[in-house]
Amino acid sequence: MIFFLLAITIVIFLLLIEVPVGFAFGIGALVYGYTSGTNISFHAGFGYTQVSAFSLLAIPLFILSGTLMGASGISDRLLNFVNSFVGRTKGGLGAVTVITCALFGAISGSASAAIAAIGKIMVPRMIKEGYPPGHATALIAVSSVLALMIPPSIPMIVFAIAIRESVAKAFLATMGPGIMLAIIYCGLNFFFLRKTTTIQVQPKLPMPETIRQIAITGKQATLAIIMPIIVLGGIYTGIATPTEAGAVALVYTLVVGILIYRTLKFGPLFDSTVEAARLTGAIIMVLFFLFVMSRGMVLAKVPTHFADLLLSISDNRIVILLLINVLLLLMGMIIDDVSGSILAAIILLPVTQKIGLDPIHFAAIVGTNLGLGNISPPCAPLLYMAGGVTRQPLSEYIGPTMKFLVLGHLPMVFLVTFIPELSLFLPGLLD
Amino acid sequence: MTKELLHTDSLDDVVGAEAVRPVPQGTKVVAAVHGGLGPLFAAERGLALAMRVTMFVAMIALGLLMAAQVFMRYAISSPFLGIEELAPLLAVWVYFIGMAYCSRERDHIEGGMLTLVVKNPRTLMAVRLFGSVVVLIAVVIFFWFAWNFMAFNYSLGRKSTYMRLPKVLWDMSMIIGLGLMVFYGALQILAEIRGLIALKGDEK
Repeated sequence: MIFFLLAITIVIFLLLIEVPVGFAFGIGALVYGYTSGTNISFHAGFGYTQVSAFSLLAIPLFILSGTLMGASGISDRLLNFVNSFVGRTKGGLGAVTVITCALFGAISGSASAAIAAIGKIMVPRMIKEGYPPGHATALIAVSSVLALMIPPSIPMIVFAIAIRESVAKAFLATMGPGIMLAIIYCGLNFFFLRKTTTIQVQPKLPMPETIRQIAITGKQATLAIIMPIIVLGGIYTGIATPTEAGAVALVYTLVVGILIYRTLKFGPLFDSTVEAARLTGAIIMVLFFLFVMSRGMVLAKVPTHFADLLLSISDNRIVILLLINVLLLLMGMIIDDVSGSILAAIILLPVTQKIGLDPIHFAAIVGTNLGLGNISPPCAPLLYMAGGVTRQPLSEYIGPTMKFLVLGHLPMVFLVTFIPELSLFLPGLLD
Repeated sequence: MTKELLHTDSLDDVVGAEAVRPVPQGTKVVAAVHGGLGPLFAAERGLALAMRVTMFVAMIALGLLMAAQVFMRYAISSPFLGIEELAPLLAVWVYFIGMAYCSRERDHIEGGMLTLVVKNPRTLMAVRLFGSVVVLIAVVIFFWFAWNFMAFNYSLGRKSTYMRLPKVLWDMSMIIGLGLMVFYGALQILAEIRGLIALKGDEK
């Protein structure tokens, strides 16, 4: 255990000085192997075998279909459609941002893609209409996490594979909390803006004109909205595995982008595919080195020792669940969601088994917590990315972000943790 | 967050024609980092193009192959088991070339708070150089492990179950990917050392 703690300390130090996450774990594995006298040379082969698993193919396929949908101009169509419902009310553009991020998540599964695609359009539009810039930036940052919670979710694919559970069930575990969080964020957005006098709202349209706008924009966005229905429908009716559903999504995207929308020319297709491969490489690199390190940890029985350590603090289920939440939050504040889900699966699974926690409920706790960690300073990649896209200083949006997190995401973490039905109801329908 | 100094969006920015940010264009630092390395970076651009083409072809082929699998299974009730071997083969090439391309673009997933805490450019560059050296050592060691893994599989003459393709085709992806990461890691260190020396000279 002492060698493991030394390795983890080095990993944390390397993460803090901005060494890429994957390399930090690779170095941690080497340190652990060297100090403990464990031969880890064969672990590279183990990591390779794990990342070449057939089930992980869903990751590149969903990333590529999401990237290509973005390149096809889908975000504009989705925004216009949602905007036709609530865009002409005070705070309406904020709600449009939240809902479009959720819909975009159902297509791409990428939080950073949601920030890039939605943030670049919506934040300037909100600021132009008088929204406080800090509020607009905070809103896109917190809403981007919805893309991680609403399926297809890359962290949930990885987590389900790591704990050997159904990917389809893990997808559904965070879907309910994700939708609830979207509603809460919309409500908070309206609440925070209630006294803001700078917002200029476009004049309301007569009801027939509103219905006409909804019909027009809805028709333009139909093919985009259908995609998650095809993908999730395919998975949950048992017609396709998540990997096959990813392939269907890709072919659907190619047909829509090239033949129907006619917006996906060869140049954007090439660039987007390379971008998707690069993103996939970044995720798989983290997984590769994490698998290498985890192998050493499992052989040294680190997860079991860790479970014993937590249970020695208290055997009260509520206390243990709170401790798990704190650990996941800290994890999410230091590392990315994919690494967090693997580490949570390896380190925390034994303790959850000992307190009788349903693995799918655990998946929901992990998914909700890591999302919170990714936008919580000091290491908040999604938050800083939102600031980078909107060109706002941290001091401008840190306050509004904390308000959204404390009043929105944190209560949701507790609800998911202590009301299992929230996350188990939808997966239960598959039994 | 981490792209402000030497770790910019792409290697082209770091050591190619563009400036080492935030050092102003035309300073001694830029000249010192770039000087005399033109042919190396011209060759590197060719290599990067080859990586992009490989990723594009493998990624699209992977998607179409998997879609064909769904079609064959449900439309003509005749799945082709070889696809279950070919798809991971394409995937591992996407993964490892994608990883190497991330090294080129300095775009790996990272967290940290160095840039929030350290404001002195020289200190920042020195800490990053330390990180880059540690990373390079680790990647070289993993490259060595991967080489042994491939050599072991080769010595056994392992082949895939259905297509009877040599397993080396799969393993080579890891060797080439890690090899490219070693190359880009070394190139980054070279740029960082030259940048640090030149920055010190500028301050004098």
